[in-house]
Amino acid sequence: MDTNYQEYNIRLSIDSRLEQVRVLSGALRGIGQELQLTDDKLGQLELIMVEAVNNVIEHAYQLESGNEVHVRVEYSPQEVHLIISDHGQAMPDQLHTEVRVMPNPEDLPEGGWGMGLIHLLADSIRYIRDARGNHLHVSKHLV
Amino acid sequence: MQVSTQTQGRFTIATILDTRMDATIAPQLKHSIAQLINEGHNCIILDISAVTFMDSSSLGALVSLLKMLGNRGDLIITGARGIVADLFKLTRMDRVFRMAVDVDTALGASLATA
Repeated sequence: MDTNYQEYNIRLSIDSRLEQVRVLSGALRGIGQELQLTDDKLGQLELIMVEAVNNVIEHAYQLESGNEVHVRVEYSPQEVHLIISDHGQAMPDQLHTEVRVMPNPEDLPEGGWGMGLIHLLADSIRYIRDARGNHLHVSKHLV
Repeated sequence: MQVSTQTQGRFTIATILDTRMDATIAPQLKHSIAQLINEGHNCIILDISAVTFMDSSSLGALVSLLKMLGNRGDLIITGARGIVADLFKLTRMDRVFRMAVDVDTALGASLATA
């Protein structure tokens, strides 16, 4: 069977609990390894996804369990799209519309890097809020 | 989270045995190392060479430990690689932490500057 060109649309979901994020990570790693992504790209995608899902659990759902977090992985040999969706509170506009300035290291920050990291690691970001909730679209070129 | 500790000279070497440092691990990480500091271990080499993934919540936990130590001691991070090393660089926290490629290098550098 010719496997030179394949596209995938994989849907994952977890409950809004931080301890479930590592299972999601494991699933993404498995997908990436099966699709023969490089360690570099896979590590970057994993960090993007984990930071985005942590943000959903901590901010959109305010650490309240019992809510769904959906991750869609769309793969083509050229790029990977991650779409992270939730039904929680909307993300403040400035977090997704601007290139985030990282906290000043000299201030010894203990957080506030999440969206900045996603902006740095992704090739494009789009945030949509509709009747079904919040959707963060992140893409990463593979070539 | 699993951490093994050993003493070498004035340094306590804390080795993280888990391969992931994430939001679930971060509070345990902070607690374990804070306990060492409270017991008087003020010069700590944190060996994260086994860690293949780390998120920003664990980085925040490390910063809180650095603040806890203040001017009383050292916290040297060793063995960061791949996406873990990238996390320090992208956040520019590699400028704040003392970092070394491995424990021997950290010990050697510390002896040279002692």
